[in-house]
Amino acid sequence: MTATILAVDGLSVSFGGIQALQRVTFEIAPGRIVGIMGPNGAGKTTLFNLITGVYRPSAGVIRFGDRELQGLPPSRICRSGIARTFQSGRPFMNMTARDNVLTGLLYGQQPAASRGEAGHEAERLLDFVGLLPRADRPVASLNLMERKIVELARALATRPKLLLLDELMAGLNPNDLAPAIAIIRRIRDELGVTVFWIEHIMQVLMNTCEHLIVLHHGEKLAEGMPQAVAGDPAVAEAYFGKKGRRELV
Amino acid sequence: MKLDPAIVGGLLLAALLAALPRWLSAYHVSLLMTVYMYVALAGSWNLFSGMTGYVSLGHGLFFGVGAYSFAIATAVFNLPPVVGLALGIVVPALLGLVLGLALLTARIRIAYFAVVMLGLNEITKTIVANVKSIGSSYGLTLPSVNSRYLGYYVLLGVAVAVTGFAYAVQRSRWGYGLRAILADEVAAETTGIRTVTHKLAMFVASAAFIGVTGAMVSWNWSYVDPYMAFDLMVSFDMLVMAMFGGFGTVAGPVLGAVVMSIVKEALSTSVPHFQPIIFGVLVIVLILWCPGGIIQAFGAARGRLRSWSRPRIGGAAP
Repeated sequence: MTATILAVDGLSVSFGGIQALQRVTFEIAPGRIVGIMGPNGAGKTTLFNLITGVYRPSAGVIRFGDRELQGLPPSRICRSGIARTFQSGRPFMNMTARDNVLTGLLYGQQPAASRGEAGHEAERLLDFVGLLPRADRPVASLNLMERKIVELARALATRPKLLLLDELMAGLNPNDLAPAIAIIRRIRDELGVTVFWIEHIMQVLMNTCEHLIVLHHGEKLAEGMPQAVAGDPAVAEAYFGKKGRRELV
Repeated sequence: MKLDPAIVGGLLLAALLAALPRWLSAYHVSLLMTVYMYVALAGSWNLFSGMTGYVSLGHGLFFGVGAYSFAIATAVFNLPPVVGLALGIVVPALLGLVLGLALLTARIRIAYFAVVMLGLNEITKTIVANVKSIGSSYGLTLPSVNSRYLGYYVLLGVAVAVTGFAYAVQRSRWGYGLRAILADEVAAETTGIRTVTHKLAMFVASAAFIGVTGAMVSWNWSYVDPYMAFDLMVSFDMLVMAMFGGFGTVAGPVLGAVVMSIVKEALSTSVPHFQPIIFGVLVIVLILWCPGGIIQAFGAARGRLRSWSRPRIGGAAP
């Protein structure tokens, strides 16, 4: 029996008659890097919005450790140990990188005891993600990659046990992929944070994740080791259609 | 402990202003009172709308409710003016709490919020104008201020308190939380910030400060009617002054209120009939010219001066 950090059971939500997620069930073991993939509109971001309390599920249970999350406000969920980044990147644009991180430190799971302590911790985190040289630049003057890293550092500043990454790599220059992957690995290895990660670049997920979940039309299509999922005919069909499936197999 | 130059400077200025009235004419004392009133109003509006981004078009509602709390306490129930002033804080604060719970807990759009506040001001004006026991549209006559500089000191005190409060909030943990809400409410909430609590607290604080300002001003008028107390110009003036000075900053609304109330006064004594027109054009030009307020314009000008003074040869940054 393995321990689970996050258990989602029968999770459903609909918006104006459209069933965005249907009875999705899965578990995540602590200390893993778990990838989640699926074509556009599969419900990946919706799933993140449900876990973080931005949307309320119409049915189902989300269990984090020993507490149920559904119905709690996002700030409570963050303070219980789940942090996230957003698909399009949403750092606080009216602040510097340092203040973004300080905000996370002051409001997260274990709010810093003093401003001085928070200041040291912010330096440490900015150094961890490699952004210390640009700590005092306004976020609005940073490039896309740097903005996404600021958002990542802000999420880490809330001291999560589970980190949800929504397409961290989207729009990045291919040269930036390797450093970003390295940071994600170090988040798990050095900070001990479990990573749950949406990404469209399949190669990246295949090489980095230990477990993959595939969503399609709001339902879980497949789950397992990356190689096994890649070989699953249903997954190939979802991505490439029937013809693609024949060619792939 | 290190002394904060902003606090020391602010307190010195306040002390200087407090010593001033005995050397001033009655006209200049009342001019300064008007300036303090606008500093208090623009600063209070900024506490909520400037710091959270929820622009309110009807914050004068709390001014009117504060004025009428004072008026009803003193003129209808013959309570001492001190009690009237206290009610001028408590009643608007409670109203702010109730309205805040209704408007700010639901995910109301910012544009709707602005218009709802405007509507509430008008509704309250109409209701007050139709209740006989509180003077209906004829208004109420209030006891007059029995001490010469009382209004001066109360309004100066409120202006200093609002500014000090804004400064303390911005420097505290809440300053980070509010800037986060201003930038992106969903991201703020998922970063652990209780956005509703933050908005609600600032809404109640701004209602209380505006309320006591309304109470003191109505006492100074020694008369109050619904059209003065709930005049839409009160709502607009505080907004325009805060925006003109600089949205969301501490010094901006103070500077905006000082400059604009003096310009307004100068225009209405020199060209009384054209004052609203000239004032309106001025506001439009200034807001188009520097949407971040004069505080930002100063900052930009300083930056430009600095870049002029830097040697231009080579081009590379050191």
